[in-house]
Amino acid sequence: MSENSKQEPPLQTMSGMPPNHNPWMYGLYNQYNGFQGGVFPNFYNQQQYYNQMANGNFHDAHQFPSNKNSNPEFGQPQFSVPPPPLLGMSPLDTNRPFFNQSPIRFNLNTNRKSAPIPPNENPLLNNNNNNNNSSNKKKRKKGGNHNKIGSQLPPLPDHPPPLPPCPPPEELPKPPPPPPPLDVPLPPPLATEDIPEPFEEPKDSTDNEEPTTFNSESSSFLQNSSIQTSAGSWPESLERYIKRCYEKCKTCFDRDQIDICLKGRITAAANKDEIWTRNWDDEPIPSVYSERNNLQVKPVQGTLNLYQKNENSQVNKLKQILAAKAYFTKTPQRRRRQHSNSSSRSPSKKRHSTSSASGDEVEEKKTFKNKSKLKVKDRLSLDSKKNDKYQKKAKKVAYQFHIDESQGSAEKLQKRAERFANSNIPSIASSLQVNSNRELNPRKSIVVDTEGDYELNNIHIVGTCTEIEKSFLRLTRAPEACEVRPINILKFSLRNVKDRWIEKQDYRYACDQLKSIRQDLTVQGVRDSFTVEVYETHARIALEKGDHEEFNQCQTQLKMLYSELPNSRANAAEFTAYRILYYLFTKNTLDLTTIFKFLSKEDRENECIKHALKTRCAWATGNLHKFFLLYKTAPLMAGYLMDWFVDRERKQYLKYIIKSYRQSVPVDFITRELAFDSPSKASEFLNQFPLSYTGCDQTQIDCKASLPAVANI
Amino acid sequence: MMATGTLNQYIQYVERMFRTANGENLARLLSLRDDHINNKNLRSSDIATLVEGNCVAPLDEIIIYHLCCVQALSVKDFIEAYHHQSQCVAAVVRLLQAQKEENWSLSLMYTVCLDLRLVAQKAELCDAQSNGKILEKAAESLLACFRVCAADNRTADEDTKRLGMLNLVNQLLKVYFRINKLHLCKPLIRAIDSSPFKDQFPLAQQITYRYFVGRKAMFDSDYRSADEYLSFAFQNCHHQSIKNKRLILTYLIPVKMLLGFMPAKRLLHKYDLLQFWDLVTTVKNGDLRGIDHVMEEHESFFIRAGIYLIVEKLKITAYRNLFRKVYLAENTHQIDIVSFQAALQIMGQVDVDSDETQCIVANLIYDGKIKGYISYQHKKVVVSKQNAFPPLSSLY
Repeated sequence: MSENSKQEPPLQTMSGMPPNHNPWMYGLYNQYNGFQGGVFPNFYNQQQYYNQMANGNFHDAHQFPSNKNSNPEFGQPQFSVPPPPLLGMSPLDTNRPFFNQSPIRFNLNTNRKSAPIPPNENPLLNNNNNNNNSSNKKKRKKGGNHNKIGSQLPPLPDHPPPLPPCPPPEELPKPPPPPPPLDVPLPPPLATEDIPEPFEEPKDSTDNEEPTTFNSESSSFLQNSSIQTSAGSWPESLERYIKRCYEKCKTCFDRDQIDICLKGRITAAANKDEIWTRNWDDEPIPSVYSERNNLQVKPVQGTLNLYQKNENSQVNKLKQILAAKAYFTKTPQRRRRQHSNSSSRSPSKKRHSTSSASGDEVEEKKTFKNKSKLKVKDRLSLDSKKNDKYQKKAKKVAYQFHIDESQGSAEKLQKRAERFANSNIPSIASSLQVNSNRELNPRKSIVVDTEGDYELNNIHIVGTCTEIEKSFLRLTRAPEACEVRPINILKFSLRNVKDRWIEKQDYRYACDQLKSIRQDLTVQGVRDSFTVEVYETHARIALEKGDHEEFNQCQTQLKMLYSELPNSRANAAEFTAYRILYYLFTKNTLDLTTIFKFLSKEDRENECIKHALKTRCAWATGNLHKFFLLYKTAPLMAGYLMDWFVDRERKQYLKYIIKSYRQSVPVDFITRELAFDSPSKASEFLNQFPLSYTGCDQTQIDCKASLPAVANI
Repeated sequence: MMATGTLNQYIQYVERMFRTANGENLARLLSLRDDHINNKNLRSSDIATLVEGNCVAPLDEIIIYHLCCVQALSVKDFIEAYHHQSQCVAAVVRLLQAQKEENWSLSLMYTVCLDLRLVAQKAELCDAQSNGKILEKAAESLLACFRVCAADNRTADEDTKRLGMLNLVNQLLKVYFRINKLHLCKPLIRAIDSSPFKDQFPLAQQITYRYFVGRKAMFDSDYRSADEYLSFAFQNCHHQSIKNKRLILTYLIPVKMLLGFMPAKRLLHKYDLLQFWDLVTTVKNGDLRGIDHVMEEHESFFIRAGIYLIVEKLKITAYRNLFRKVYLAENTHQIDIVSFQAALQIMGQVDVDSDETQCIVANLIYDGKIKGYISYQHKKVVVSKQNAFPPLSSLY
């Protein structure tokens, strides 16, 4: 903005022009401002750029008369920059000050920014540039050159740009007739009809010519610009649509609105490559101010329309997806590749379109820069015209429009987030989405999303990776099939992990491998006896190494797997026992109560469960002596689990002892009762606490004297 | 109400109740436990088209879902009925959201929510696979209601929907207890405890609430607050709702026993809870073998009620009573560990050794249930000359 302020003086003078000022024009500028907000991705701006140019041209054309009136020489000196080199947009010359408006803006920009791109090199203009420049110059001097360009276009003779007060509705259609490219830009000319001011129409031949030149230029711009659809022209239905929209306008205000709406829609459509696919005849016509007396609603409508568009295109997408799906079921790997292609498709398209303008990457970059400059300029123009009330309103509209867009994308994001939350089973759908989400175009992803949720939720990837060893990596997106190992490979992997474990006891390696095996299983939705085996293996290894977290994950899964798979319950009792002990470890009396409810008589006869229940009972009734006896006789791997909380219970028992024995107890007793393997380990444990000892060589603990230490145990 | 009459009459009646903000009657008209569900005129396989257009906006979908549910119930398709009822609740949620600054429709919400839970329970029974999933889904619907109520904090106190919170919380607690998801209760309890209307909710709801919260405290081993909640519930429960009082006592008795209060036989008899009587006598006598026997005998009852683990804790009390008997019999302040050990063995704990006996005694001393100390060297327990075994009730 600061940049803008620098520029302000000249601009103000421009707006100062006022008697002639054209509200329509302001509206336009406002709109640019809205887009400038930066919400739109770059390529958006690109399109914007195109629109701008087109509009700008028209404006110039219309404004032209007013400028003339005020003062032909006025504008130029002030701006101090020669308009012509700029963009070549303004076919009109520097002679007419107001004409210069858009060009001047450009100039300012380049100047300010220390002109990263010499005006002549402006890639956008490249093709035209020479022509324009030359034509401009020529025009200035001769005014006759237009013939050249004009010949391309059907002359618009009857339509002196600023047709004053009341153009009959018939007039509106007129603009469209010219070549298709013109149609989009056309709206502005129509607008002029409403403009009250332009009574002082330029009657010069130059003036008449100008519109034509303009058109030709703008059309060439179209061709160059990134928006250009592959076909290179605009669909008839779109033309009709635009026509219909403008027919509705009663005031210049309406036209402002319509213009904004149309621009938004067309830009959006162009971004989505829908200009040709959309049914413009069915497109709802935006309502206008005079229709509803309520400006605010309009932007909302704009967003609605955006979504409607989505729907339209969804059909296509759906087909696409279904096709992909069918493909996938045949050969997962190939499908995947194809899919990634499709996901990258749209960006590449974009690229093509841009580069088609300049035909070369460097130029393309420049185009971008230029575009950003354009934005800044627009802002400038806006600021200068703040005082215009129409403008203000229009600005508001544009702004809201903007916000709605961003809200839309926020919604999309949220939707996406929800989807991720929902699907614990990664499906193809999610992989599709993720890939497509990386694209610039947010719309595509959303389409895929909805479809995916419906169509593909239960389909799991079948992996194709054949490596036996694979490190665990937390997935941040749905995996590629080539990264996932199928079950037959995973079986080797598990074998390998087990062997390595027995051989080397490398827990980090084993955990890493097992987690990746588990992940591959989850991704592929495999839940069978092999899954059980993997989880059991990991649970046991985690148990042995005291990895509480992994163990808990595994035992939770096992609990579910056992209930799902009655045939794989061979070790269910063992793990139920571990679970009971795990609840003791977490002191989860609530779950203990619950688990008790579901233990059958046979369960309770099982040696492991019996041990666990006895342990629980001893623990619950404070019989720690028995608890430690059970600790020493723990079956299978229960001892490892009890290791996790045996220290805690030792401390508890030590507190009992110190509090209830007098005068002293031998360390031997403690060693025995607390189930230490050796006296040294016992003393290691006891030395953590500031206990008092009596007797020779510290073989007795003085309980009374140690009492204060109890608080710290 | 509306046990006979045509569909149109029914719709008009509902509309009238709605217009006149007559929540009670509206609730009855949309209840699944009202006479009108037997009215065959209200059943049709194509209710939606019959009602559509005949009824004002927010009501039509409620009526449609309600009558669909009635229809499904009449053919005993509880799962279908559940789905309709949950949509009915969703429609009521939308209605509630639309109604600002008024809460007369709360009774409608209560009714549809209660019906939803009942239908969900039925559906749960029909679908062996579901394993609590249906009830869990139902809880989500109820939570949607709860959120609407809890969020209504701009309205004046007498019109706020927050007054409906406790009823919903009670429904939710019932569901969560049924599907064993007690950890989900915490936020609900917090919401109620921090509510400014905590003490203004209807007494009946408060009783239900405290019954569940007391149970939860008991499972969390917080026996003191469990006692507090359950005692309130028991004392305020309507004297004729014997069944509810019995339920409360099922939990209150073991809690009280742990705290040292034994129930009178009269009470147990009155509420048909004589399973506890054996327990009381065995615990009183320190009859460990008897406790094991009682627990085995009534195991299914204790487990079903979820108090098995609590009852087990009474063993500690039994130890204390047993040792006290030994102490009284020995009539000395210095008791041989061997005596305690022998007592334990007589009571069936044949494998008990000296160390285990000491451990048990140490535990009791640590808890303050015995005043005294163990002399390791002399293998004796030395107890206080006064009040060596203080009454349990004085400890908490």
